[in-house]
Amino acid sequence: MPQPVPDETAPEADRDAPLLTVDDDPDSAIDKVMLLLDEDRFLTARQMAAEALARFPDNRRVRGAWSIFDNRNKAKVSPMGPRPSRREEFAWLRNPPAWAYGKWVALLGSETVAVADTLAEVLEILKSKTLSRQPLVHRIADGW
Amino acid sequence: MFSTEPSFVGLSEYADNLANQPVTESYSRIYVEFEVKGGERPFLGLLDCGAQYCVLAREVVDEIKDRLTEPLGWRTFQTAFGRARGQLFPYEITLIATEGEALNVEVIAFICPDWPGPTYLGYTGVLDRIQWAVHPGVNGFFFGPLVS
Repeated sequence: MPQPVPDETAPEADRDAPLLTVDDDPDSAIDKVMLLLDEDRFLTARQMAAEALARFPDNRRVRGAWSIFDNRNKAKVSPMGPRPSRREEFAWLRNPPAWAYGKWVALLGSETVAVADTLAEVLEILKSKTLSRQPLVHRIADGW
Repeated sequence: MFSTEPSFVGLSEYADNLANQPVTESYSRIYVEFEVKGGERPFLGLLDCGAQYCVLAREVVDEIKDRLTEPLGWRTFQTAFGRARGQLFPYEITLIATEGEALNVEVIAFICPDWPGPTYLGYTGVLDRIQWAVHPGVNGFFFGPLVS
């Protein structure tokens, strides 16, 4: 398995960033990274994750923590191919009928092919149907 | 023309002006169609470059929870819906194209059991992993892999 390597072109973190100490182990290093993220100190957290990776390159959890920051080579073309436009479904969703609020719906064009209170119920209904293409599934919020 | 040219592989039409959207300025939202691995059906995700991670709607999580691997760590942060605490997981989503190619993206998913909101496609962990652009004239969402 290729070793993850920090991106050296990434912006530098805070100058006063707390560095890992000699006493830090992989778990404490990850705890510090997550704490920094909770404090919205993203660049410092990134720097600390990179330091942890340099010190513990074979540790699975440290590699996982570094993967939060590593945005390289994460996207690949899918074999799925293009699908038809959702213009009709979007038009329906812009002005749904009153009964749809609070419901999960499955739409094919302007047709409602399934509706239920929960997503699980909608998916169950869809299993019993033979459809010409994939319906779009969405919840019509009834307030936030 | 530019020192760096974008390279997109897919284009989809995005939804806006949907009814009853979260928080304020309810109609100023862009939704794009995507699938989550193992999720069976396509959903809409709210594109939000002011958010973090792929925050999955609670019921979508129920559909894929058996496929989640080892968590990357706990996170707590403030959201438009209040304080949220959950775990980060690597996961794969597919951005669906109506022209060109769909794109599989390994994202960082935020799984919060109490999350009351819709699915967000945030910047860190999703949008910072691809090239993307919007064309409001045609509601076009262009996307492609990140190339250095």
